[in-house]
Amino acid sequence: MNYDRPELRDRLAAAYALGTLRGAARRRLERLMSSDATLAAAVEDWQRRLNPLVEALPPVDPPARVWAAIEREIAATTLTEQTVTRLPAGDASIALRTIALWRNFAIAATAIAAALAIYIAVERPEPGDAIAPIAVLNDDAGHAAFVASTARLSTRLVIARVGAGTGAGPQRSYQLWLLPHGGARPRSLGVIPDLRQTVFELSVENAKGLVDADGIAISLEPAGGSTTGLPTGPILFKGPVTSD
Amino acid sequence: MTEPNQPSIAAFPSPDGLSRLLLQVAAGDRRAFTATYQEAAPQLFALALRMMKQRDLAEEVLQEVFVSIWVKAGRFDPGKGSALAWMAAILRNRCLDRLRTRRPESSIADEDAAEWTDPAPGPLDRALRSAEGRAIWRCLDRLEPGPRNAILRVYYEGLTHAELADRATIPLGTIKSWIRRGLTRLKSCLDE
Repeated sequence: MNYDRPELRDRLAAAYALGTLRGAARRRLERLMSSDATLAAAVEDWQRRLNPLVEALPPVDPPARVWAAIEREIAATTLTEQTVTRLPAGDASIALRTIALWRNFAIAATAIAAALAIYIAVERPEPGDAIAPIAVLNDDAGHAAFVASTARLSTRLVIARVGAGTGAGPQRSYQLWLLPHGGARPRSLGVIPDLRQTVFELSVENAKGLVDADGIAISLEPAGGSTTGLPTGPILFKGPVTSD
Repeated sequence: MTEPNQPSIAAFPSPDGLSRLLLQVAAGDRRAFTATYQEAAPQLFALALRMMKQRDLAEEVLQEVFVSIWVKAGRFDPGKGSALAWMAAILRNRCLDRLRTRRPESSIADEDAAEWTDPAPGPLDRALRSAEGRAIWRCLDRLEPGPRNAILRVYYEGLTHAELADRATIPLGTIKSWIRRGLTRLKSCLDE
């Protein structure tokens, strides 16, 4: 269909706003709108014209349980919205560009791409909600060893190894720590079972802490992780959480 | 959080008031979000009920929409219409998505057809708060009853042309041409 004809464009925009355009045709127009500003503007114009109709309906109070459910959901997303403001925005290509600022670009990009592939397969984030790196963990010599990434509206943190590196060794584990703002005691995010890449499901508290954390670190611990709640072995890898 | 009070017409903030609230929501202000819900939810819930025809579905949609408003408030542009209209657009999209996959077989509309025959609220119910709200009714009143009611039923009930033709027992071609002509006239009247 030729969407360039102004009258057709306007008719489709009106059908979209009125709601008579449905199903696959509706989805198709939505896709077009994201790349066609004139079409998007025509739809907005029609929505602006028609949607004041909502004002004419006599209001009906929703039951209290609706608000209670909204509040519960908001509590879970609030922290990630705050996290977002610190994340490099956008899509995978931006994530890869960001990584390029660091060393070991090629290896990092490969690892991130792999992590991305897995993340998308698991999470199917909305467009624009792609994963982006928030910290590079270096070893003592300053070589990048791991990259921590997260995505908009997600409490998940992906740790991917970007250096060659060796494992923790027998009877040892690598444990991931959040270094809270202001030098407070490290908080365990968990033992890293797979050094190539592991997806951590963060608690709300830890995801909030990530927003203004000083950094992320990995320590060497007895197999299964520290039993004291704090790092007992040496901090092997460490890096600051980046903001925009 | 107490149950939101039903806002009286007088207590309803000016359209600008609701826009301001939404801009505060965009900045992450939870209190502004609560106020936005209290002011706008009853109106949006009324629309969700009309479109979904089932209370539980309408509640679900309203919940999803307000979570979405919390997340997307930053995309609201006060220069492009009222805050309520912006929220209504999100709600209608969500309802239409739901209706696409699931049109209830026995809907309230079929049982209480009479109630839905004239979807145009009576003049007393037209508690129109914005200039835009007044303008669209002024222009709708200039249309003939056929096109006017077709547009209103499609808008408020989330019907397709074919569904409306079916329910109103009017030929599909007539419905299509009523809506097409009606929208054209509505546009030129509103853009005057």
